Amino acid sequence: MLSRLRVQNFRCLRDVTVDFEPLTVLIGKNDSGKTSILDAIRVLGDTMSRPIPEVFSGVNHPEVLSWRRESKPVSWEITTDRDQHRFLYHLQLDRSLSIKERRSLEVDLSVEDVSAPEKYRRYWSSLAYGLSPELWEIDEDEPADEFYHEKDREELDRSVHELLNLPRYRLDPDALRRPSAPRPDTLLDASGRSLPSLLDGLFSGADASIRTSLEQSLHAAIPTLRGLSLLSFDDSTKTIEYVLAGSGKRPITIPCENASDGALLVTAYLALAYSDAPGTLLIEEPENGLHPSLLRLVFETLHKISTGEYGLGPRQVIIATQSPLLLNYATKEEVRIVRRDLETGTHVSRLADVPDIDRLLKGFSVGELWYHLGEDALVEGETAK
Amino acid sequence: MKVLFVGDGAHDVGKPETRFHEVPWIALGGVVPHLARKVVPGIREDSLALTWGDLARLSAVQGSGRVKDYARKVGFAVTIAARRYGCDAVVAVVDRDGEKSRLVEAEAIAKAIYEVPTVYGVAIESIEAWTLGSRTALAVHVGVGLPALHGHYPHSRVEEFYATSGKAELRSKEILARVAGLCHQRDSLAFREAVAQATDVAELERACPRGFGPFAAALRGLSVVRA
Repeated sequence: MLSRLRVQNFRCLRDVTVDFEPLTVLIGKNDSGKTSILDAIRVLGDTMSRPIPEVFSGVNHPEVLSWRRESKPVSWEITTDRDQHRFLYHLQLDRSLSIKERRSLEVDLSVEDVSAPEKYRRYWSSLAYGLSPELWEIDEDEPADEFYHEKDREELDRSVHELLNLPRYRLDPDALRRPSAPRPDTLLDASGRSLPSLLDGLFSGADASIRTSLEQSLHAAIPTLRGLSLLSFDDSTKTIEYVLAGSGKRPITIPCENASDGALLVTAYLALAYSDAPGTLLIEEPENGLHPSLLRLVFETLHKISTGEYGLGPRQVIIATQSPLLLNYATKEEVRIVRRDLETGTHVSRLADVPDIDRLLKGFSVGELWYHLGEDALVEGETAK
Repeated sequence: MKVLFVGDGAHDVGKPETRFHEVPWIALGGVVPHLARKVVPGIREDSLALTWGDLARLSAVQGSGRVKDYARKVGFAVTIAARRYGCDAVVAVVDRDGEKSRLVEAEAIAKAIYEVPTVYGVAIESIEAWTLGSRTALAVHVGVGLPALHGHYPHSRVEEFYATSGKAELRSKEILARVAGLCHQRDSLAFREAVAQATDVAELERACPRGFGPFAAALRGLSVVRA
């Protein structure tokens, strides 16, 4: 699990540290830096599988990406926790696209620093080589994996796997309804356009229990639905139909065009949970297009994905939201308040760290607290008279 | 003293000066801020106002269980007054509208959340009584003598007036509309503000002994505490 991110000089994130939970909810005004936090994670994930010049081209070039276009290097520092292991990784990128990397592995809180930037870079490349063979050239003369213990390799491998290919999902129910053609991977497009393909990949895979589990989870979330079927338009395009619960031996289906937005969104989140696509789920404004009564369903679905109750195992979820109604379902420990100062950039605070939070929660729900107080009064406390 | 006024609507606490409904707004208008400043001249010009409707409930559930709407909204008001807007006190006014227990639980709930001096006013049965009870100011404003005004609403107990009363002579809004018509005006916010500005507080306390009377006394107590 990604437990901490520190980013420097990335867009409005001059120097920001964010602690994450299995499910984390970022709240803040427009332009406060919520999306930049998600993108910092996404872009870092991209560097795990794609060449640096490709990742940092165009609008992502450091000259454009950096804080106020200053020449200071952009840097990421992440901490991931798994079992008793804590993995730390640091990446620094300057304007010439040269990078420095550093990693260390803490085991039972004792630090074993095995950093060796140049060697490590090659080792990193060799991992990426396995994922994107056409993108990397490996220096065969000096295999970097000799440098690392096997245990470290396994840990690093899993940590890398969690961060690879992280889209920033902003699912659109209309996009989820679109038919799609099969694709070689089981990834969902950031807007959700390839949902039928993702489901097709899951249902035609070797593990038949995935379909059963996914449909059971869907039924648990939306009792009126029993399952899913994929209807072929032609040889290459499929669309989703829902099987209604209580329809006996002859299943009654409804096309996804007639299904609710909530049903489509829950299906998409469950498909992500059961897919073998790696990664933390970065979700922006899951409330978009949803009737308020469905927010609880969506939030609970995401929560169960984060705990592993739905899906193949616990999958970390990071949400950015503008909805106090959605926020009502979060706990104080899960909420991060994102604020932006013109001079110092984005700041992130934990709601649970607000000194009188328990007293405030006697009178407010979490969403009400944010809506009525706003970010500054919430974090900074009683205002000066 | 900087105060956050909370009331039912524009007649109570005024409305924003800007086109955009900015909440809260500077409490320059409305019957309640005008009357409150007559009672406590030290209420600052930068005091703020909003309506109960602006204090939206976004959840049916809260930490300590469900409580009645007004109690909960008073909790919101005192918290944002102290924590967000730097106010010294909250002045919360509501029409009783026949519900005798309104605001009764509010004080205890509010104190449990944030310690802010709060004055509760219950307009009986509605805020129109605080205009109709100011007979002298009302007569002067519409340009008639007190006897002539008396002819329009001879019933002296304005706290029995109610907009939807079964008795026509007690329908407060209809009476106000007729009285405003005497000077070719409508019963508007500006009309009520003009009357409030000229109100004799002592006369209004006598006319509204169950609503405005206790409210004014509580306001005076608040000013003593703050002094």
